[in-house]
Amino acid sequence: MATLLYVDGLTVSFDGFLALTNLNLILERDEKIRLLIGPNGAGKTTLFDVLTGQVEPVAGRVIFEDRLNLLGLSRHRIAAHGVSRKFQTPSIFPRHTVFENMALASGEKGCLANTFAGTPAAERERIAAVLAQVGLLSHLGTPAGTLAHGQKQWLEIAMLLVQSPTLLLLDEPVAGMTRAEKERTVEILAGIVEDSACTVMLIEHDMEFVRQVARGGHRVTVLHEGHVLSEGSLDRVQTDERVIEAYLGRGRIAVTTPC
Amino acid sequence: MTGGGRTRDAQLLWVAAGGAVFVVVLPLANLSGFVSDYYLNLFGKYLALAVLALGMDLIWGYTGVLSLGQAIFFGIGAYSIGMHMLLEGSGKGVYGEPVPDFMVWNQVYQLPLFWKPYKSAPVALAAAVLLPAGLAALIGLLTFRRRLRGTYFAILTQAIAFAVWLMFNRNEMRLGGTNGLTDFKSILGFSLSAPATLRVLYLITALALGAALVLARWLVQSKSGLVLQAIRDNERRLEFLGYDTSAYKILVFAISGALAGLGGMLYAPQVGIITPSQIGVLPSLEIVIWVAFGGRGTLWGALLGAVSINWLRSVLTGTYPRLWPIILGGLFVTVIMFFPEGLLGVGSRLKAVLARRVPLAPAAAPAARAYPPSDKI
Repeated sequence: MATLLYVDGLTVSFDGFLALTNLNLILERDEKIRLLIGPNGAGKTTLFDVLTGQVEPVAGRVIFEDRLNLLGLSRHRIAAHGVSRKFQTPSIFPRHTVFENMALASGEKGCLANTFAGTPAAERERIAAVLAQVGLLSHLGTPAGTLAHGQKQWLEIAMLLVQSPTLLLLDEPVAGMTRAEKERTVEILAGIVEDSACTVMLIEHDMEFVRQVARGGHRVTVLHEGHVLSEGSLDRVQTDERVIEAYLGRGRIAVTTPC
Repeated sequence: MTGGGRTRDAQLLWVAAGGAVFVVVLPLANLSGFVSDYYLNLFGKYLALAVLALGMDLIWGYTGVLSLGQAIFFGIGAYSIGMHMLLEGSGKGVYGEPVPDFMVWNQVYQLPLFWKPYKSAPVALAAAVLLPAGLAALIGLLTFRRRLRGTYFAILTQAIAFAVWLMFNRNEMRLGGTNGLTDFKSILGFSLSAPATLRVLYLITALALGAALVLARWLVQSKSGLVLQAIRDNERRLEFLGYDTSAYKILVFAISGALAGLGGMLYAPQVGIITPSQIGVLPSLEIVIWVAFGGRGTLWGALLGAVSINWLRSVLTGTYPRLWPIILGGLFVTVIMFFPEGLLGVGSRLKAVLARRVPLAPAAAPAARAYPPSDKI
């Protein structure tokens, strides 16, 4: 079985504070979704920061698709290799229209090519198809800044999808969403998993959302104080003594005991 | 995507109208005696400064990178053509020496090595545009690649402007020291005291501005134009989408440097003097004011701001020379506080008020469109 992502002994230090301590994680290529949970400060977002070239670890290795070392690559190189990232708060171009946001995300990235050529028709069709997938096709000409919060989140997901990523990193995609929007996001996610070949790694605090996603039998990884505390099906990690202690020990009651 | 055609037609109409006024009407009025040679020359100077402002709008208005050193690039353009003009006239001066007169005053009778290439007109003309572009690209390479951004970049360019200003002030630079370069006799063999030469210079300036405007519009309406504005609004997102944003910034900074150099090249022969006082920190800041006053990120705003403020300066420094800095500062503060989108923003807001009776106050929501949509993207 081929490995998509191999994280080995990752340690990140912020002026002496260890955000990640000897973190090991393996993501198989045929995995569809990997859920990443853990209390605040567990290092979930820091892990994404390392994977996308935002933060340099003091130790460890990150091997992508069995051969590529992601550490030390610049952000745009990592993105070009197929690792796309969604930020915690919607990160879009507010003054550009929905279509322009998508056009920026897809296709050519070099500055000379983009000065002399436009967006080919095939690319426009692909943009339309992806926007239809997240339900934003009717908003092509809308300035993205005027979209509702949930729509902005979907637009950002669409911008990443249109790039046909190999690994899609979603940082709290349903944060701040209404119940209806969350349900729609679950559907969108199911659609992504079905239609594209990409693997999704997902950080989420919302346990209801996690349960809905994990219903598809996806693995859950629990991070705590910078390393992996537990891994397996949701049922398994929820009954894990160490997990319960980690959450309760920090005064959080996000994990409800399974009935 | 809809309505783009009509917007573009309207824009083309503006280009045609503006072009007609400056390229046809003004020179014709001059020939028939309605506009004096003095005023035509004055407008030639404003249009040269508008080319400079256009470059500032590309790097600051569109890309959001505040360069406080644009006057250096302008100065290199002006000094390049100035050196050539002085060499054209050398030997015909008071002293009959083969070097410009100011060198004689400094006891320099041998032409410094770096002056020699400027004997050739094509070299001087190319240097006026390519040297500033190259210098901008070099500064960009050293800063943008290292993720030097925002205020730090602004401060750094300001420091460079100050350093260059100090250097040009020194007599040892062999560039005329504080007096700069002046007493130009001719350009490409045409006497600068002949009104016809100045008329042609005016026409060339107007056409160059038109060409620069077309080039800039073409750039901002391409997908690269979208990228530039995205750098301004959310550079991090762009990097994580796979863009090497520093390459775009270096490119547009080099273009803005080239436009500034072109502006300087057109300015020096029409005004007849270029001194270090026009290339330092203060003139660099003034360019920012022109663009902010006219309306940043619109191209038209840069032209409007450069021409209107410089015209205002010509009028007011004659009558209230001491008040001018206060007036200029006051204008800037007024625009920033009440009309953040500049003169052009005032116009479009008035239009919206008349059409839909919306409140006069600036809208909290992002502006619908800061630039015209394009089919090319």
